[in-house]
Amino acid sequence: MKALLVDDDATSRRLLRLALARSFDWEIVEANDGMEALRELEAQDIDVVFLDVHMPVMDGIEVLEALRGSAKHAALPVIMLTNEKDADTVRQVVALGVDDYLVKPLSPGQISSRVARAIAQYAQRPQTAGASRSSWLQAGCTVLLVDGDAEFRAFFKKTVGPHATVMTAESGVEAMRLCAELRPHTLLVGSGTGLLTPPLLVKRLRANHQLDAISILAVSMDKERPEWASEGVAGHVTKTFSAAGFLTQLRRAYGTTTADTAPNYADTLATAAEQALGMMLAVHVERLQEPDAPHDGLTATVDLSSSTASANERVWLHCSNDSARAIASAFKTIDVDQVSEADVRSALGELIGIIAGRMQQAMREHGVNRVCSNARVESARPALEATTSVSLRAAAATVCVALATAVDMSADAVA
Amino acid sequence: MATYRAQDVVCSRQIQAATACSDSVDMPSNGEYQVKSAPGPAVASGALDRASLMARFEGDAELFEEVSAVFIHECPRMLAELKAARDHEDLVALRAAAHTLKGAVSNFTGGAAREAALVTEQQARHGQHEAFRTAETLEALVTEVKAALVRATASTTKRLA
Repeated sequence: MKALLVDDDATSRRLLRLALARSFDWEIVEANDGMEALRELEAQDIDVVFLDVHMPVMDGIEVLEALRGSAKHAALPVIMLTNEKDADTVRQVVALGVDDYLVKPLSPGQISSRVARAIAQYAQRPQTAGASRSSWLQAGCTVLLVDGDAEFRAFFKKTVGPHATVMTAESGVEAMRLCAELRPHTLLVGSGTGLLTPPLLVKRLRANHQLDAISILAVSMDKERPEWASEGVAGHVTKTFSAAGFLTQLRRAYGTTTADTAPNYADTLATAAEQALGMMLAVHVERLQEPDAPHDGLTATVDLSSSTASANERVWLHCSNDSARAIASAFKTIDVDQVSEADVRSALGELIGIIAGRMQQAMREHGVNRVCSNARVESARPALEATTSVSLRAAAATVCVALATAVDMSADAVA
Repeated sequence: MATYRAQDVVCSRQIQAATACSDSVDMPSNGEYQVKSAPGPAVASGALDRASLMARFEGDAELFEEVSAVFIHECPRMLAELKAARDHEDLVALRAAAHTLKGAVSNFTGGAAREAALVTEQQARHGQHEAFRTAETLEALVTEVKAALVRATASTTKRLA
């Protein structure tokens, strides 16, 4: 395991390095600023990053943005080093997504326990549907492109090859054969496919019960989805030879086809609340588990695709009572002697917006592009809002309102 | 909550006496700096003895010694950056230098040096030229912390020898 410590203060870097060495047998790499960090990340295989917020040359938020926008590093665990209570900074950090935070000045005991917890949570994350930030394409995922354009097929292999197992076919007939033999996860249907034209190919695949699990994406020169792709096709990608542009489109479109199970937004929600609160108060907030809680929480339905044919077009956006209670429990762990009531009130005031921002980002990562129903959230909202400022225990209600706000924000974005 | 005006900051004795353990400074519209009490090990007012400097290290003497050595080594460079920013009247550079010093010194003390760094940073952020005067105090206070760390680690080295 290799950790990268990014901080312009050598004293803090050394403290962190030595404290980590007490508990973990890791190789440590250091960087003095964000630019140095990016160089190290490009040159080496880093497993976890400890990232200071304020640094010269390039700050921690810019580094975090670069990581989250990179296919290779999007899911890299990041632990933020912060004493930054500014709500805008916290909002940016939480929205981009970090695995945990350490409050500066660093405490050796906290370093050990928080990092162990963060790493354990990260190790579990890939098993949680929807929680991985880079699950859009993986090495084990097979993607087939059928297109008569040899140049585009070569571009596709070169661009997508590093992210998934890639195959290409120059005709619809060949694509049909490869689908039957190799059962790719996704088929991208372009143009110039010969006798078996794109609409015929899609029709044949959808008529074959053994092959109807294959997700189909249309590829065309137009920005709009072609007419033949209105049924049985999960998404659309505009043909381009820009690697970054194509990957971005593919990521978005692919996200709409892979939500076989409901993403665990509840965990995203709880983590965002915990981090936002902890960073704004500059205290370490712990989330406690309360087993056997009822599961009749707040639920919204989210449409993942405008396609009517995909079996995976909807996910449940769910804030269970469990996660709401977990946040309430987190509040209980705050030592009221350590923080002023005014700070807590101020943090609560910002919390809704910050969590909502993170939720919206998480939904975008999962390809959510339209909210089709939030009636239940809306009906619950007035009662929840009425309770948010009552006490620290009202955090649970705060979280639910944040959920509703996030859903509304997505709905607004569509409108 | 104690309240200080900007000009008070230049008096290191006042800062030491009144702001040990403080954690943050807000700058309200009336130009006064509000220093809030915050968590952290108790550091006696103005005290820079080994026990107080080690408080954040949870009794880990080895860790304290090693981190102190880095601070002592890095201190001249950090102070040189602060001085260069003052000489060039560069508020952006001053803010950055004060921020770095704040992080470094806060590993040992939440007292006057950290407070002066925080105020310098805040003043520079708001474009206030008082920051250059505050930075002079900061320089003196950080030098005191460095000297205290040299004393604290030297006594250990001597004892172990």
